[in-house]
Amino acid sequence: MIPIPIQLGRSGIIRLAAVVVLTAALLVTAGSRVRPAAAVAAVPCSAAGTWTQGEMNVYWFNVGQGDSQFIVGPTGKTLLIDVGETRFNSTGTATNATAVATKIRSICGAGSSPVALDYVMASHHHLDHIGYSGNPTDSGTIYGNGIYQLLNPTGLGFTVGTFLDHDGGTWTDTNGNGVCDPGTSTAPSNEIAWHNAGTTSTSSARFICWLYGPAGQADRAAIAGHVVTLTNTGTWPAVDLGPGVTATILNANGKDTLQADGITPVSGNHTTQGGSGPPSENDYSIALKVSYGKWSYATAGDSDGEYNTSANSYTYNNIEAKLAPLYGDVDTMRANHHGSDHSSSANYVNTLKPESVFISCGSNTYGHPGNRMLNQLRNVVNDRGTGADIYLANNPCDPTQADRTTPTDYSGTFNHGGDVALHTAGSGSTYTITYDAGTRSYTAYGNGTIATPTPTAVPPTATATRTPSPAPGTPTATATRTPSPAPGTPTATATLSPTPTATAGTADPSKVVINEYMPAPQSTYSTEWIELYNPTAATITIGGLYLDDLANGGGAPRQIPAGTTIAAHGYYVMDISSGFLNNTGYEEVRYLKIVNGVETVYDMTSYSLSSTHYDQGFHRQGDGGAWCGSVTAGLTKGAANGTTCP
Amino acid sequence: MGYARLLLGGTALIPVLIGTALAQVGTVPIPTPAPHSPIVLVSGRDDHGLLANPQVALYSAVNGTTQVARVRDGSYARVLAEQGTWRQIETLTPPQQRGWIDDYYLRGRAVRLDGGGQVTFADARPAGDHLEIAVRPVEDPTAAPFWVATARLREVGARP
Repeated sequence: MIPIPIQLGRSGIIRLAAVVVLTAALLVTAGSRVRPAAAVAAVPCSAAGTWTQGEMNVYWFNVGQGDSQFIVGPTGKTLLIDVGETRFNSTGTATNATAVATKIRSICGAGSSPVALDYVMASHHHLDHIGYSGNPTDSGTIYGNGIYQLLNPTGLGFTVGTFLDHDGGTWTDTNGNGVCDPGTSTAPSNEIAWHNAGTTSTSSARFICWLYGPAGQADRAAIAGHVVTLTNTGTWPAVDLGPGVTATILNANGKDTLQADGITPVSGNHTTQGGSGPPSENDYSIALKVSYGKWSYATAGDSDGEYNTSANSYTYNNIEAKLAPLYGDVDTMRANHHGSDHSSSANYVNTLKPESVFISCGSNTYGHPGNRMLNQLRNVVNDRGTGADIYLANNPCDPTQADRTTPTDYSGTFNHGGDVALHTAGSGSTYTITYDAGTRSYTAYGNGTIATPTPTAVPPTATATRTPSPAPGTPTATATRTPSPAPGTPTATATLSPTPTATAGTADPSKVVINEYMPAPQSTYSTEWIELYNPTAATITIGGLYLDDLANGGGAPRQIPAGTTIAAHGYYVMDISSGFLNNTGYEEVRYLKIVNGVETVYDMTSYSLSSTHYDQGFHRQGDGGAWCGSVTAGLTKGAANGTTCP
Repeated sequence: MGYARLLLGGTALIPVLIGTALAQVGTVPIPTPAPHSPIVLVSGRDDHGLLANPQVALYSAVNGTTQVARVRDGSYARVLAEQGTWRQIETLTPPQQRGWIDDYYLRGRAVRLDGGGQVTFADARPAGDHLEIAVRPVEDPTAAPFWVATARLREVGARP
């Protein structure tokens, strides 16, 4: 059984932090070179910080080719997932942990004090997710970065209420000396009992030694008694991120997934497995779903999305096949494994149907992100139409694919380098994502209206195909029973399980999307204009709905004339006298319903321009695709959008 | 080119303490001869088994900053001395290179590509133009070792 999770109130955390820091200052364990800290009490996230109160806040920190994300709930409850490092031997201020700590202090308004985190989660035991832990047996060289440095009382001094770890293994004091020995290449440790593991590493051995080491060890003062291990037999705890938030652990330890032989579980101790090699540590990742209002988010570490048992000496296992139906339709997805082509499978992406995706990748030579998965995201049929907006921690990450020849296609992606932040609004009804070039706005669909079964739905085992950019007005059905698209046909596939997702026959105006707009007419155009696109196979009535700019500001909403319809895969353009959409600064474009003053936003986008760009505007990549990030004169008013971005 | 069985040289016993420390270095113990001069696999791969460093640096001293050689990922070496988590190694294939390296870059086991499972290393010898490693099943450290060509071994978790 797992320990009972610690649920602390705010004042409780403050008291705990004080006790932890005081204890850390007094404890010095034999064999440890940790010195008593000049302790500063950790403080919780406060209203003085930059996080948005009353909403969900997700921060994807740029830690290079690694991961670190920070979630702040509507009342300031915090969850830190991973603090990855790119070098095992970075220390002091040269670590990602130090940079992450600085950012969290700012977000939480902690000044120079460490922060009392409610939760810390290690998605899995790889250096680029947890860092490299120190150990009392070290001599001559001092190690310690990543999560270890963050929570070490003599490191960065942060504290934690509940530390969530998958059940990779634990310490057994084989030699009875009271110290966990992580071992070396030539003297492997027999003090770690592996529970659910395949490939192992010094990073994982050191991390387990720290997490499950002796209670009195000084560098464990902030975590002793706080670690909750997600075993295969225990009940996984709910993660309390505040009122209105549902945060559910969906998977850990590769539970319930079999290896490629169809017999051997991924779970269990496979550290000495031969044959094709043991499962990757990636496949033991923790998967978490967070929902707030209609907004929902999927993050699952480095989970793989395929079986690969080639000549490699470790195996990939299709963990995503289990995760996909558990997640269902989400709004925002963190791409598994830094955008590897071995993850974000077609089934996974087409089931989650995200509108926004973050890929945490940095400089690498592994082909991350993969072109296959990028195209999967560009072509996903989601609740707003076709294509997800793709945000990268860095651009480029790898300039080429794994073959070292094929260029990585970064077209249409957002963010060239730096942190990316998501904030919900309206209690999760909408959200914005802020990146290095501005802020983009989204409607939150939650489970999504597109998932509603219709009388024409195909069987769950059939494959739905959709041509990404059909000719305007072409009345082609979007759901077919064709199991094998013609070779070369650029189709996206969607597995219709557990809920059919066919779109044929629907007439839901919420499916219409803003497709293109032009705010500053001069000579090519005489008016501002906004183009809507109907991505479905049915004619949709949009008369009586509205187009608007900023909520609670800007120009008055413009009503679409009564009786207006858009044909299947067709367009509607509203010409608007100049002076509606701003030429410079931040502006929004919204498509919405207004009834008795109550707005229901069906689609929203935004832009920010520092200077006027006459006769230029913004468009999606292809009709209904992801928004292109740059303003352009290459507009196609009332006709099919270009399939490439400027 | 021959593959001489490596013996511990006097240099392995000399404490190296001068001007090579990283930002944080505590008490530096004196290097000690590695018992039985174990065989190791030099790895430039990250925790995923992906090739991060095609060549791995050897240093003149523990915590050193002066590189004395660069060793190709997948090379085999013998450990001459150890100090903390650092190992002084000498590669077993030409050009034989000697230097200090953090144990982070060393592996003590491999997986047999012929389906024989994971093995640990017991010894090494030249065999014509290639190197053979005496290995034991990882589950049975007392088993009699047997010789396997290095081409039939691969780091656990490495990709080709």
